[in-house]
Amino acid sequence: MKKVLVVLLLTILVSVSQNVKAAFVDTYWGVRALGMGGAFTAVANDANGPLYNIAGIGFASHQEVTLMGSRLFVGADEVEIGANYLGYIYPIGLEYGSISFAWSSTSSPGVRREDTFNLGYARVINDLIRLDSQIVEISAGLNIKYLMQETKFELEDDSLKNNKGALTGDIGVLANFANGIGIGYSSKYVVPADIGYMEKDEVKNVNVIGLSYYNDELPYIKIPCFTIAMDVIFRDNENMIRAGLESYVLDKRLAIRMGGREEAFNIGFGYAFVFANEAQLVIDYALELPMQVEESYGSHFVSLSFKF
Amino acid sequence: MIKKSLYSLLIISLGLFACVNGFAVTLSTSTATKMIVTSEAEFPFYDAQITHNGVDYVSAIDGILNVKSSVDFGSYISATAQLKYYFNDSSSSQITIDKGNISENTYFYIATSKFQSNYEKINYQIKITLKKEQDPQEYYLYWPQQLTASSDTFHTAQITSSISTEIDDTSKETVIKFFSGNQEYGNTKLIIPAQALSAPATITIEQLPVTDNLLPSISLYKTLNKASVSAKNQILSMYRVSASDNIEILKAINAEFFYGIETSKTKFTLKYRTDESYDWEKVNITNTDTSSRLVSANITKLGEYAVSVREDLSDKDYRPEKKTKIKAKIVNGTYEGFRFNNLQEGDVVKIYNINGKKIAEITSGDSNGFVWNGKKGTNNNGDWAESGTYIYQIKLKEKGKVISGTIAFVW
Repeated sequence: MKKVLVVLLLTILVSVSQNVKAAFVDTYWGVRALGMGGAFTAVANDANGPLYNIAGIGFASHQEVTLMGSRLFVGADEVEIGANYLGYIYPIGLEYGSISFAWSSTSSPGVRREDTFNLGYARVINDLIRLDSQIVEISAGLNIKYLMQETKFELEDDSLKNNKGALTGDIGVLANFANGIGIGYSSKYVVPADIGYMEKDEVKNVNVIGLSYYNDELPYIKIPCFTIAMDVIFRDNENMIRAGLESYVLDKRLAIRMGGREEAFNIGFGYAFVFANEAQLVIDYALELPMQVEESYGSHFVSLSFKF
Repeated sequence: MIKKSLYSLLIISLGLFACVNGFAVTLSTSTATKMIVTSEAEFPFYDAQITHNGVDYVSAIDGILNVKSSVDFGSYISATAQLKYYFNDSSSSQITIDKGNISENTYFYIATSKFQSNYEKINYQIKITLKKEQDPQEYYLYWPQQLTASSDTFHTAQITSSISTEIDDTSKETVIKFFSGNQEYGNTKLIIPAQALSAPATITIEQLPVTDNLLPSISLYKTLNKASVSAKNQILSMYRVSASDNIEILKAINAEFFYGIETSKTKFTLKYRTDESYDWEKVNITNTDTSSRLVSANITKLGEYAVSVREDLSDKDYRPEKKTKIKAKIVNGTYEGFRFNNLQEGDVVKIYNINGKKIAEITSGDSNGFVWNGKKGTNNNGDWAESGTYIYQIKLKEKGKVISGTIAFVW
């Protein structure tokens, strides 16, 4: 157990100390997470987990598949950017953990496209580190990612291939305390991934520390099934904070979310159709209102998730 | 007896002479005048007046004389106006232009047709035909003044393409005007403030002909080391401001350039170049007076200035031609960064990443627009941006409009 902890700590230190050049700007898709302003590292307990903190899928008890579509910066003329995400979690068993497959894509037709393919694994490690799960449950996981970019070059750059890809990975840890507090850590792109066309361009390592708090009913205000979360993102010299909250009402079927960061304010809704055997079909919507980009009606995200 | 008769005759003659001259008014070519009305048949004295500032110079390039006058009818009830003129010397044939009926005390203009630039002088006369109520006879009023029954007095204006003024004392403000000869509009003018010149000199304003052969119009789509003719930037007028000696301009000179009568447009571009061998540079226009057909600017250089029409540009005219750029090729000079065309002082270009965070801002550039070369910060003064898809937004100050688009910058 000690060895595991030492390895994890070393990995964290190595990740934090890296200061490499970057490519892919980290994007935070996943409609439920976006509704919460992208503050999901200490939550990450659904098919959006692979994007935020792979360790989150270690707590999965059901299979889940989610599909997201979106349109960014609607209203800004000639800005045609769409983002898609497909995620799938398969829990193997409590003692074996869960695996995930995910694909995310951001594209601007005729300009450029980014695709990320994830293969993830996570497991609750209380038994390995001999921690009482009555107090806290800790999950750890890793993601293997393949990054690919496709750029439409102009005539004079015909000599260059349009596609460039590279392999990298994420690691994550998530601790859920019995009192409702969650602490998460995710280090993304821990393996340098060079996706430069003409010179070295390595994807920048990103480290995120997340905090969350869940209560079945928030005292005094009596907000049901309430989650509040915050992420602090460390990325080279650009650090940022994301925060959000979520509440489930109507017998946990309707979710109301809001959150934001420096450059955007987010709101979101979700509704679950419950079937037999606890299967659920969930529709989520999130709106991201940009604070800096002008003349835009916001970015709109919709997803359909099926838990079974 | 004979002596008495002679004395009487002398006295009467003197009296008559005094009467005649008592009603005469000296004509000035530069101020309004009070005229004696005469008829070609008789020589009575009436109370009508004509007001006109004489034209002393006419532009050889514009080739039009357009006089401005008004008439106080006095006791007359109606009037018509005519312009008579001939070129160079009196052996040339006279040309008459009828204005028709004019209103009392209202400015009217009579213009010649566009004439050849190789004439040296134009001699002109304004003739007013007046009528009284219930009187079929016509009465004539002339400018310049007519004292005799003959109507052959004309005013002479020099046809020229330049004007020079010697400035001996640079400690005083000097105004130099190049008169176009068109009194309906303004004139090209330089207001040289005190201490603006490094030394005494003769300053010349020369109007240059605008032809396709001599001066191609400069396209607003100018790319590196290349200029192409475009009707969008049609030159209306051109001037050369020069000095007799090699002097420096120490203070900005307020210049007003007359752009002619060929257009009803209201937006213009002013460009400058040292001479033909140099590229045009954009000059900021400080004021546009469409009623006087003048554009104003503060100039600090001697050289050639061209006023051209600025056509309304579409969004496409501002966007970068290429949507993708590679950092290495910008660094090695294969090409420049993203050029946002036709921007000027006051416009701003902002670059955002995919998360909507502003990573760069461009607020200045050259005469053809602004360039983002892929660096963060203001005016490309930061580190290189990461490979990625970026959103640009061009904020046009004059139009109050935002133009957006997507570009990719990769390594």
